Amino acid sequence: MNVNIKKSAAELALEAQVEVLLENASGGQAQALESLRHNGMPHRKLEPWVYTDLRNLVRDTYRPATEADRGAGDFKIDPALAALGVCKIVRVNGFLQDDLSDLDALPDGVSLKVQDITAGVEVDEHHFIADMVTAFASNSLVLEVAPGANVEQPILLANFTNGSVPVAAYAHTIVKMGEGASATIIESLEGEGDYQSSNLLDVSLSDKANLNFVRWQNEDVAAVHLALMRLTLGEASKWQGFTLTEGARVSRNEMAIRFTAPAADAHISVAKLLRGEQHGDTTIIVDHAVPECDSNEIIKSVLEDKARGIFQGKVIVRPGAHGTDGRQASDALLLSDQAEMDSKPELEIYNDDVQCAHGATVGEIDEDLLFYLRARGIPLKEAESLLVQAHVGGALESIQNEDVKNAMTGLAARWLTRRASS
Amino acid sequence: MLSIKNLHAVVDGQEILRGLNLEVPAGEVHAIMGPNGAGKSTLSYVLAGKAGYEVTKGSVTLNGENILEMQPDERASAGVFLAFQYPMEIPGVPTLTFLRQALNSQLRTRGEDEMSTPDFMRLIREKSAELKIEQDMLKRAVNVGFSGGEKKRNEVLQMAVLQPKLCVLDETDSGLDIDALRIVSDGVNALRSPDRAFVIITHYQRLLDYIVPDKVHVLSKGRIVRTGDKDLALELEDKGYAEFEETAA
Amino acid sequence: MVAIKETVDQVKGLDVEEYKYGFVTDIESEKAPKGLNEDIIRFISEKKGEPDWMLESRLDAYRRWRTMTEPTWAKVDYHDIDFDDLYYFSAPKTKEGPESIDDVDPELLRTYEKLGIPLREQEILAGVKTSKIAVDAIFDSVSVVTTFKEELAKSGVIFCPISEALRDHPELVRKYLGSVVPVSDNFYATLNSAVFSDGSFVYIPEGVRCPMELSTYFRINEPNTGQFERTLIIAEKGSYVSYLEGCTAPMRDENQLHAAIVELIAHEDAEIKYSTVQNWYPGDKDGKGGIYNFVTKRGDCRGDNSKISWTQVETGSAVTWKYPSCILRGDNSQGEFYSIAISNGYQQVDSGTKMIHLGKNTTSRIISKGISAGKSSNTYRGKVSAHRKATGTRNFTQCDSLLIGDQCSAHTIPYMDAKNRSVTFEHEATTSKISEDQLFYCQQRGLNEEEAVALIVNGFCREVLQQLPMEFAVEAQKLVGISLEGSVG
Repeated sequence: MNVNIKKSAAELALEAQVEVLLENASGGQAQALESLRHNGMPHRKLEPWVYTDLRNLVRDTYRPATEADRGAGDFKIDPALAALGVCKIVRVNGFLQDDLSDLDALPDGVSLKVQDITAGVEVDEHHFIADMVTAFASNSLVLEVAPGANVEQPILLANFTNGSVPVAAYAHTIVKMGEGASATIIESLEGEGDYQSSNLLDVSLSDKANLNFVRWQNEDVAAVHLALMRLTLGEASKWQGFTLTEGARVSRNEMAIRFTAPAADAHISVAKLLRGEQHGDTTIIVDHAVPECDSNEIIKSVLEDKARGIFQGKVIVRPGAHGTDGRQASDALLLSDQAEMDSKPELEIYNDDVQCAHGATVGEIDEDLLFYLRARGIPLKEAESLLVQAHVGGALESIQNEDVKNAMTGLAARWLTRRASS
Repeated sequence: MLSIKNLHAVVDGQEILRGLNLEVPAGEVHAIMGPNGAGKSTLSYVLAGKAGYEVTKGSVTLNGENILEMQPDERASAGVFLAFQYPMEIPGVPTLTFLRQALNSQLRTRGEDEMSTPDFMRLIREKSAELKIEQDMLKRAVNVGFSGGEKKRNEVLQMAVLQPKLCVLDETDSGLDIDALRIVSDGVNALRSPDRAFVIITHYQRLLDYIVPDKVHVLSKGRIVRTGDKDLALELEDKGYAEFEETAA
Repeated sequence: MVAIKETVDQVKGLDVEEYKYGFVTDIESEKAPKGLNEDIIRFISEKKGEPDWMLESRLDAYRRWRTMTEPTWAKVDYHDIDFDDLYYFSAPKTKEGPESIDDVDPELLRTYEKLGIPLREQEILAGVKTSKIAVDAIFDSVSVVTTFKEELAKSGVIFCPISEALRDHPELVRKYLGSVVPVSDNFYATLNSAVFSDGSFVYIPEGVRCPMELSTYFRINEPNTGQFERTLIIAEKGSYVSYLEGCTAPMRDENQLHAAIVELIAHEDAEIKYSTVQNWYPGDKDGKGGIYNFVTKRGDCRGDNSKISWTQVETGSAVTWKYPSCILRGDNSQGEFYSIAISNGYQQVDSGTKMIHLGKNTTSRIISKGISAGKSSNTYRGKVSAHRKATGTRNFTQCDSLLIGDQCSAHTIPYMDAKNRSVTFEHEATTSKISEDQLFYCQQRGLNEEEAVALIVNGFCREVLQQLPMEFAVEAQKLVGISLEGSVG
């Protein structure tokens, strides 16, 4: 059926911005712009965006933020994170802030540089979020951990967006873990006001590298947040990723994980806490093309009011990937009548020597458990909180660093407290 | 009955059996003992014909018939029964169905008449009662959700129903408590007969208190390095295998 | 379990790659000219002596179809179909509307005999063990005979070819036809709405428990002929019916199109159980020939406490595109989908179900077992959705895939949309293979490799096989063994 969907205001605005930039663009940026011009904004007719129709969800495309938009905002690191003794690397509206960062006190083995945006972005395949960042970001932040370095101090990549005037912030980050290196990186995403933040993260793990990566997405509830993480894993490397999603009006957190050599291990866990009219999309594509790699996804969602949670997962096991173990588990709790959860956990298997499983559940809080707790004298809201906390706990468990785990548990509990007091 | 001559076998490119000789006449029970890695389980898989266990030299005959040329199912029909150390689970296939199909396949292969349902049920009731196996267990899928003891009893039940000529028991005592061990041993002993031979592979002497062997062989580094009567097992229990690991080297 | 033994016998008795239903019936037939246009549609409608409104509806569908394009989202890949190079109507030349079984061409009777389908009532009655089954036998575009019509009529059950229903019960057909699958539902459904030839019509009056199993047996015989059957089953308040369908076709080098629509309507407290054993010709070992099976099946649980249950065993066809679904409109209504889909050789299957929960306290259950072997591709695609007002909704889904060999593929694409709090959705999926150790264990007990595979796969499918009526279960177990021949070793 040929249905021509009318272009939205956001799409028209985006088109105009693209045209202006194209006049002077070259290389990767030009390619990204061409791709945006050609493909427009993703919509529900495109399978990967079936639940997150940006044409409908995004009202406008704001102008790209500049350094000057930093303003005099208050960019305080959340005490829960500051207490971890982190090494701070702070960006505001996508621009590195020397004065707010600990650039002189980087841990041994860690280096940081800023490079031209197109130098670090692969453009061989086009993806809306990658194209947006490549087209509009001004530079890439490159964080390298030297081979063999064992970095104890957690590194905090803090991102703020000042939306006191409507702007669109774009950030590109490259993280390279050298062979056998290990580190803990925390990424925070916060802001104030009505803004759009787009985040492209390219992470590569060399052989035997080990990265614990924790992301806290706490964007303003008026904001639109689009994030794409592209992760490649070398031989026998290990990825432990945790994401706490609680912010933004509309968010899409997409991870594309690719094993490039055997025996690597990716553990992905997500806790998603949404309320009001928030729309939160988690999309995870794991591509097993080499033998003996394990991937394990645990997604715990809690949805209240009219919030809408989405989980799209796809595990691809290609012909050569024997000995693959791929698992997905998505469990959602709906706390109100109008909350919504959409799940699509796909398996695409081209090899018989695999173990793959996915499970997905949606439901409300178990009445029997609730009754049991209340029969012991715990008030309703508290009892609910306890059970919700237990639910989310399944995702928090995987965080390796105990202090970081406690901090993230605290942040999740804070969301629940706000709920209990409302 | 079973005659193994100069048997060499390779697994994953490594030679595990290196010139093994063994004669088990009908009516006898021979125990094969040895340290871990001696090749005990390899021997059982080679006899049953598991893929990946490649015979490079030597011969194995059962009543004069070369079994090495046969497919695993043909060996089974010829009378070779392996009681697995770790019996496999087959979801969705009731134990009864499995047993009946196995029995009738073997009968058919041997050119004999298949057993009628009433006869089969009678046979099963009789044999399972001897092994204290509940009828309920027979309705469950093969080994799925069975305890360690139940799995081993199920192996012996299959042995009793299929009436093989040569029974190879691979570490049948592992994971059994004393009561289960007694039930399993009683089941095996009941099957002892002048026209049946047993090869009992075990690491520990304990099982041999219940199933008393005619001969005990020590397997080390892929060869039989010593043969004796049942007292040899006691001696091994006492002294361990260290001595043989030396001599075989 | 006699059936397992029979599977083994069947496997043993057959040469690899032999499709036992692949023979051709040598019979003269009357065809509409090749191709599709309004004249052909008028021809079909006139042949069937249809009322004007039916012709108008067909023409309307045809005009809509002309503006539509084939769907491409399914994970299947096949040659373009030249819709102008097909016969849309083919009927064995025979006396108009045989009055009794004795009027049916003996060649046709022999065909069904060979297929093992009982058409002679007295023979069925004489049989001690076989339970009574009424059969509507459809050969290419027409129904050749329907058995037990009189006996069924005694309890008010109407079981007849849909073309006959259009003549004898036009008001019923008009009321329900297209009410579950609208004319413009999808490309193939629209095509069917324009050119459908025959199929079965079932009407179970209020409070009646249909006294016997009803079944339709579909046979495609003519080359270059599409089969577009249309089945409509209506279960009035408090009634019950169990309906079976079976399908086969000769082995031919070219691909043949089968685009059917099945509509089920269950009123208050009614229950419809619909079982399919689909064994269309799957093509040869090189992937040549075989049926394109593009089918729209949907049930509407229109009344409160109604229930519709789909059970399918899909072993045939070169390409399958089929999603028997339930619209759970009535409060407390129930939908079920039990499926075994086996693909071997170059077969491609994209099948699954939709459970659309609209009513309160509606429940659904999906058990899907996909087995892929050879170079085949097997996809489960399913959707479970609960709407805002569908409070108290429950779904349980389990979809398991089994891979045999390293050149096949298995995919699972489930969608779960929960739009209110009191929904309970549970979904589990696994992918596994037949392990070498399992095979060796069975072989050690005396089963040969093919027997062992058939046994393990039948075990894997057990939960679904148990849902089939007894006669079909036996047939299906055999098929499981046969379809996987040559898949190991």
